Amino acid sequence: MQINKVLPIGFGYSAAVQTLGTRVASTQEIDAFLAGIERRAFKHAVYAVQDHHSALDIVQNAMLKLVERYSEKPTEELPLLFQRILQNAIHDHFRRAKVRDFWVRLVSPLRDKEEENTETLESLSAASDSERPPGPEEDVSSRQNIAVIEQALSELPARQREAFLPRYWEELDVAETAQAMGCSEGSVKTHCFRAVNALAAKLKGKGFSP
Amino acid sequence: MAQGARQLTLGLMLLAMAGMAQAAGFRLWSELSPQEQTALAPIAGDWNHMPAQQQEKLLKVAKGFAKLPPKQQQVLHIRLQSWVRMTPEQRKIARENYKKLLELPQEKQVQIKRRWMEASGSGLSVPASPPQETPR
Amino acid sequence: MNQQEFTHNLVRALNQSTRELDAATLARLASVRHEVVRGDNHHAGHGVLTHAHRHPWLGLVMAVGLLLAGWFVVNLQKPADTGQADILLLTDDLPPNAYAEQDFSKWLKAQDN
Repeated sequence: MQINKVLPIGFGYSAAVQTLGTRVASTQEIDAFLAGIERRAFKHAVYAVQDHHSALDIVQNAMLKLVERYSEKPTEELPLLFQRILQNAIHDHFRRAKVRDFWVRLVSPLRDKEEENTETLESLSAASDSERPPGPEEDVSSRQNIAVIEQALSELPARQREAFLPRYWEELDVAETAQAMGCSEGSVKTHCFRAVNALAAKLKGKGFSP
Repeated sequence: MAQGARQLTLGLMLLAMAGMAQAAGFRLWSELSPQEQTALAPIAGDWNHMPAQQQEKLLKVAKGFAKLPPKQQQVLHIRLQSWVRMTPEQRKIARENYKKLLELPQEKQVQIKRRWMEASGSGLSVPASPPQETPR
Repeated sequence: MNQQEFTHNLVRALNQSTRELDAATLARLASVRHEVVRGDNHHAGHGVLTHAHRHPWLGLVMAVGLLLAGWFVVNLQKPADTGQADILLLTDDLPPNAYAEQDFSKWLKAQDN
């Protein structure tokens, strides 16, 4: 693109883009990449933390980190890098929540944490149902299916979900998933295997079967 | 004096950046005019998470939409969704190849198009005579 | 249903679910992304700004230069062409995917001989 030669450095394109032949991600490409992935990233975060507000924060932090630290990376590496950053951002959230909960528990020891989580999830699905009245062509049963599937994903142990989503939703291969999760390829296969079995079991009674 | 110059500099830079931001303006779907929304209806769901650059190009398509005959409008609507789902590189290649094709003599154009249709088994057909609306 | 079909169906449902995200969330995500990517531009610009502080007149010259560059970029970019050509592409006999295919590029190259 001619434009890289017209604009002075520091005006929106990293200096690395000036060198043609190296497929470094330009600001536009990063923007396009994030635009393509932001919905899935948001959903991934929601399944993990079950709260829209926190999920948005997580996605924002992940995007910031990608842009701050990895804008000089080749375009092909962005999907994998972003998955790793996203998982770290989710872990950070839980770390902070644990610290917060520790102090909260000290103050109100009678609160039942399990109940709290279930409430949030129910009110969440109720909220999203009310936001969109079903259209005439709408398949009501398919919306119920989606809700059931999302519930099952949220109930998975974190590591299983973190293997399942990059592997099957983002379509990373085993090696890439291992890098994203920071574990061995063997572990990835184990987590995926368990995730699929757990999901199949949860969904068995509701009309899906592997 | 230095203080004033510094402020002026910053002011001008902000102006320049604002100008650039205006030129590459990101707009929410809700901010588009009714005509633009009609033209781009099939991709309403994707619009808000498109980068500004892509939006700009599509808005230009939307501009020309009203002038198209109804049948062409239909075709464009059908094609819009897959267009935005292509990668930026693919779209770039498509534009370049289309440009190259148009530079060939009419016969060759038809030949190549026929070849693609046969290869893809698409069941579409190329009109034997030149299209009625000649690109200007 | 084998495992592949199972995960396939699951993923299809997940994709459907992302399509059903409400407008407010979508807008929020878009504006977050926009902020983040634009913030990067400002970081890149910091180097230029520190120079301007040390030599205010140099900064003035650079600012004017940036304004001019911006004007050039906007006006000489040939944006009109792209819009026109895109409409022709999108209403052509062939679907746009055809033009992006490797085979198509090959056939075009063969014409150069």
